[in-house]
Amino acid sequence: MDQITFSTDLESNIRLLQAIFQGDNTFVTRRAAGHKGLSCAVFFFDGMVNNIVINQSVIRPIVCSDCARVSADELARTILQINDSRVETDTDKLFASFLYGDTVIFTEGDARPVVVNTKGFAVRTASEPENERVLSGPREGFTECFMPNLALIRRRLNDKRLKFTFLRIGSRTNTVVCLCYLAGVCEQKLINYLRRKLEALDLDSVLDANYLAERIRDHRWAPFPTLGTTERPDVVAARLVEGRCAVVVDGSPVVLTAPFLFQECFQSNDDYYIGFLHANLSRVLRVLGFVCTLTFPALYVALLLYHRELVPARLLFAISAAQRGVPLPIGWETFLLLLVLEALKEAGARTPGAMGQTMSIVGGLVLGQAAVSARFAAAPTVIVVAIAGVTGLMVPKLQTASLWLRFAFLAAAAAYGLYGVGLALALVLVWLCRMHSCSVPYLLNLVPRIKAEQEDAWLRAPWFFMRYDRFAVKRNVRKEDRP
Amino acid sequence: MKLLAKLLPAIALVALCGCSREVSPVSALALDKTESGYRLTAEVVRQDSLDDAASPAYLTVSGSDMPDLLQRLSNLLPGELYLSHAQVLLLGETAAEDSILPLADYLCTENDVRLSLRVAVVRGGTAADLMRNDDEVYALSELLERAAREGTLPDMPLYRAAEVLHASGTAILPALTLDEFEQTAPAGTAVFANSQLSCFLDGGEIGGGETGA
Repeated sequence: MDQITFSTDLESNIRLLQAIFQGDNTFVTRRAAGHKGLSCAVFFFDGMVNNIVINQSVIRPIVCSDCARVSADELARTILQINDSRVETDTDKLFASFLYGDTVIFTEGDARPVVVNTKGFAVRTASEPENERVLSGPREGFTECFMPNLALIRRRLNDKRLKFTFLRIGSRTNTVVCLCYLAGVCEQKLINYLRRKLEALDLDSVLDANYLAERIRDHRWAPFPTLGTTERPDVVAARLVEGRCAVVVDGSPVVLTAPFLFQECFQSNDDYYIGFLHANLSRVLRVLGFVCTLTFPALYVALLLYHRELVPARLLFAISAAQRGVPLPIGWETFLLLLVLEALKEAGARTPGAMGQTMSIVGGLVLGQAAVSARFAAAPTVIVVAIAGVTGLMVPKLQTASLWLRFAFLAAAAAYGLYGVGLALALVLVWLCRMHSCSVPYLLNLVPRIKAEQEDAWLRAPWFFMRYDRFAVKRNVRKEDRP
Repeated sequence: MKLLAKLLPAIALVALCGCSREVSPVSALALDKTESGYRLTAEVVRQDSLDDAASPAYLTVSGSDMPDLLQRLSNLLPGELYLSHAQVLLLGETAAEDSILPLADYLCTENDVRLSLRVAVVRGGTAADLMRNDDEVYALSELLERAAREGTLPDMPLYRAAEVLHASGTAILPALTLDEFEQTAPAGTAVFANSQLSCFLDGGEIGGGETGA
């Protein structure tokens, strides 16, 4: 913003601000005068402020004031009856606060404005996030409102080491971004690394956390997430306690956490709120589900194209019978059915409420049955694709990886059979081994090394075995990658 | 454009390979000797839809040796001749009287054929007739497996038969026959010496009784 200089003349300040916000009908100028001659101008945006606060804590004290003329300091200290008021001389900060629901007050004879916290825009109440529901445990979720989000975190971590560092990103949106960490628990190098990455961003707008996530994450082209996202304050609190950093973005209910390890993809919030026996069974199922969704269609195609001898005889006869009359080779048939499945998922996700359910039923049952009857597809292929689809939903954090790798594995299977699938699996494993998140190896803890690190890797140890002061993340930044 | 150029070979690779061919799976084979050579009868599995049960269809070809017979059989079939799920090879008595070592060697080196293929000799009658006697797929292999488990017939898959024939030229193979009720039944063991059928031993004689045949 161009440098703006205010004057000691109230009328010229009013004209200056009105000129800046000319054409904006929500911009309100309210002149207020005390009965002893105090003259002030109050500026705010309609809809962004709490009118009751302005009336009772700003206008009334000015009107009832016994002073004839006061400085900005005196106005802020002795007249305004509000908890958060300050004299602001930095015009960038002034306009940032003003545009975000604060009220600006000028007084006659002082060029310095007073900024009063009168934010009062409508916010959504904290409700349980749709995509991170739990069977038991806390049901609060972040909202689009920044400060209440930070309050949700602080409420869970009553620790004086909890730090919230604010940054502003986006030349147009001027969005507030908060870097949260537990000082002394989170490694300073990690904090510096993230802060540098955030500060280096040159963006016009930041309207959601994902605007930042795609820019600051490692391995931007990888389908595996290298930055955690959550809408739950309890998850953020747990990550902070483990020595991670969190990034809260104003206007977004999604909070980013870093570093993010592969094992976290298989962790669910429920794992920590239900018994460890049940939680571990669920976690094992999730791992199997991920392997299944990646490899099941590929194995099916590989076996039927290249390795029929591995299929039990009667099953082979049944599949061959079902395949009879289907116009496409089995590889293409599976590929197209997987595409149809993705199309149905997309349609179901974008279709509102009950219509989405209807879409799923029509797509899943009617279309599948009709396709088999019309010999567009074989029933076993539909079953294989359906199993891949269902198991793919078991690990929501790896849905992108499931989607792309499923097709890649299918191509490998169609081209080279089981050897292709094996090769593809090996390549993916090598890829995972080479990945890192904020300089921490991505597969950390999944390979047995230190017993303590295994407590919440493949399986979750019972709480009475867990030592929560282990901070595995802190110790494991690769030497060559240290920021 | 560059990305497309890089992706094109991968797309072409996937698009141009992996076309599945229809297969004609064979569940059992029967080899008989004729005046002019050999006759091979194949039990081909047919299943037209998921609702149907698998049923056998029989195809017979004549030729000079096993490779020739299989080639002729392949020409007859609508789909690819598929021997991986063949579980039984029946040898007629006259066919077994020739040296079976070349046959065993050939089948052992044939990619499609499983080494666990069970070989049995038909005692009296032709192998083709015995195979056609059951109109159920894999009835013969289940009979041989059950008998081997119960100890009434020797458990002699193809690879083991080839092994012992190579080692000593002597082997025993299970024998089957059609009983008085026209049912397929175990008929003792066929004894091979110098890779040729030498004699049969009845069930009771396996334990060291009189020699039959």
